Amino acid sequence: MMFLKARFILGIALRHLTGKRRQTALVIAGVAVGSMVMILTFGLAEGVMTDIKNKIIDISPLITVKGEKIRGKQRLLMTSSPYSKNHFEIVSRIVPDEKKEVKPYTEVVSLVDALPGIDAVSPFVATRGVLRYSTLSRPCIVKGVIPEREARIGKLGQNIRTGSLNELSYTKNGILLGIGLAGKIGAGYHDLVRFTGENGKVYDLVVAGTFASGFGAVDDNNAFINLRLAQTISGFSENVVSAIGIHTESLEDVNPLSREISRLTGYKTETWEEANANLLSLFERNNNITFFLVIFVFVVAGFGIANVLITIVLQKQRDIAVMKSMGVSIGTLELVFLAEGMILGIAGAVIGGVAGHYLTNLISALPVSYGPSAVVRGDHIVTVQKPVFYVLTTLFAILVSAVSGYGPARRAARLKPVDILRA
Amino acid sequence: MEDALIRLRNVKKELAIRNGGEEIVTTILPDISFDITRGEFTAITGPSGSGKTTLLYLMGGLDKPNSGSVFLDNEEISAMTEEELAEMRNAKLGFVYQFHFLLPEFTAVENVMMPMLARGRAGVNEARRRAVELLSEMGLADKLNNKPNQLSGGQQQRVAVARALANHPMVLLADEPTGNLDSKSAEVIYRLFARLNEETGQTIVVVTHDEHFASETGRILHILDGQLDSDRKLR
Repeated sequence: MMFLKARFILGIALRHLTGKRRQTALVIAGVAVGSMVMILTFGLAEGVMTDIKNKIIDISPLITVKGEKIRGKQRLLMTSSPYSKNHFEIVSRIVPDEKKEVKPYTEVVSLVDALPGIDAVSPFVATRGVLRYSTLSRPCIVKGVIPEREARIGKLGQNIRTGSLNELSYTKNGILLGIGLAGKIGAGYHDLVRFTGENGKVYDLVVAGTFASGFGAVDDNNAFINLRLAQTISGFSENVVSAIGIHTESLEDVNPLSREISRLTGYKTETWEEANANLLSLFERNNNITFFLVIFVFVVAGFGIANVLITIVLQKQRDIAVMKSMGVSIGTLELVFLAEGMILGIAGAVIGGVAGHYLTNLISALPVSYGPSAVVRGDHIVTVQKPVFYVLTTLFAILVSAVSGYGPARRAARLKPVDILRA
Repeated sequence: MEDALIRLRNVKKELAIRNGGEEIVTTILPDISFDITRGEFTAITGPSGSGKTTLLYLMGGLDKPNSGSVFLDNEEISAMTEEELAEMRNAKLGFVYQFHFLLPEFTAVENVMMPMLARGRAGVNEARRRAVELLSEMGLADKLNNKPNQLSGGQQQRVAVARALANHPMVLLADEPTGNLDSKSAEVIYRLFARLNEETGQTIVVVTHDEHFASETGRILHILDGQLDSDRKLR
């Protein structure tokens, strides 16, 4: 019975649509464009996020042990009020500006090293200064590292353009420059550069190589030196670092391990997501805006569906009246026109889904060049395709066609046969 | 009285026409009552605008009277809901209009199947079997899979008659069924109606202003200004 009814409804719906081939094709094309753009937008948005996340993971530790001790609740001090004997005042403890340091770092490193799921541990000292080559100078962030350990955090080893990490490790006064930074001061491999540290002292360093991380800000501002030298510049003793970078074997373990390390060592820890929350939330917001715009493409497609259905209802008034006179129920007629909307929506979503798949592939295959000021650099647009995107797009197309079909369907089903047959 | 298949009792029908801001109410049928007996072949005649088509729509449950009652098969159809009316029309009535009003996207046989499938009264195979049988009776056995636009006017109207008969209706209601046909095709339709009435006892009510057609029926109800002017039994 249900099957019969469905067959009856679909039979009429399909005949109506095939009777208006050109208009039907145009409307399906409209929905298809909406679906295609949605698939592409999903792919690009997810691609940008994935690209950024991958690049962040490539260049920065997944967990950083920061040189800040965890404190209990801030203690409140009660003091007697200078104004009245019967009053007192509560003052929160004023914390002196402590130097950020992990001490003794070797203990923390061996503690973390022993934990399961840890892939690499790299202590470092971050400091700032001014780098100068001939007449050009530039402020920069310098990270003192143990090159062999740092190489295992992210992909620094693979990002080297000239020289090597190895060369840095055996050159006590070596410096590895970000490719942008090297370009800005005009220094190249084996050039002698002058670094003025936070302490005001001047160090002559040899460029042991250059690296390109893909992040404009990093490549333009960062450099690596040996840990010992950075300790000297920062005035740290040999068992002190400013922080420790950690790489875990799996991304899923990052959050639990971060909490575990903090608990074990007593130092604050920060995951890569926490450290880059600003950047990530910016892109997330950007993606949300894009989705709103894509939804409007669908709304326009919905108008197309409504339009063709209104046309069919108007042209088929007499047929609708005849069907009603032979006893076709209001519900069945409504379903006929809703089915027509659904057919348009689903056909559009299927065609748009296939087109979106190929368009996304095409776009990610195109070579592109990013300007020097790009936040994230690369040689192609990264896209990601997931089944859930196709499911969501199809559901959205169905929703839009149902909403657009509802009005015309209702109108058709409520036509009074006499009004049409008499005319 | 027992045999009255259709009963109209003090039926009043007004039609409101909106003309700009004001509503003009025209009384089409002031007060009309009559019975139609099972097995009768009745013609409703009268000049155009006399209210005969309105009368037919009231009998068919396509329209409702402003007051008075319409009974079909001892049920008051003037008191039914839309959905009850749809079920009633599907089960008990068949309509033929001045124009064939076949659905253009469907073949002859599919058009005839439609009333049977509309409310799941028959399965597809059963509906097709009956449709083929009906069309063959109408002399259209070789036109089963033609679309309406591939048929002549007379053929289209015969398909429409077959469609009206699909669910074995108690009453066949026809509104000027020959009004749009040449005399030869019209003749075929008269014969068809007369034969149906004679052979199967099909109750038929036909609105027409074709005197010749009317004279072939068993009873003529002449309507003038919405009132029963004469009621002549011919047989």
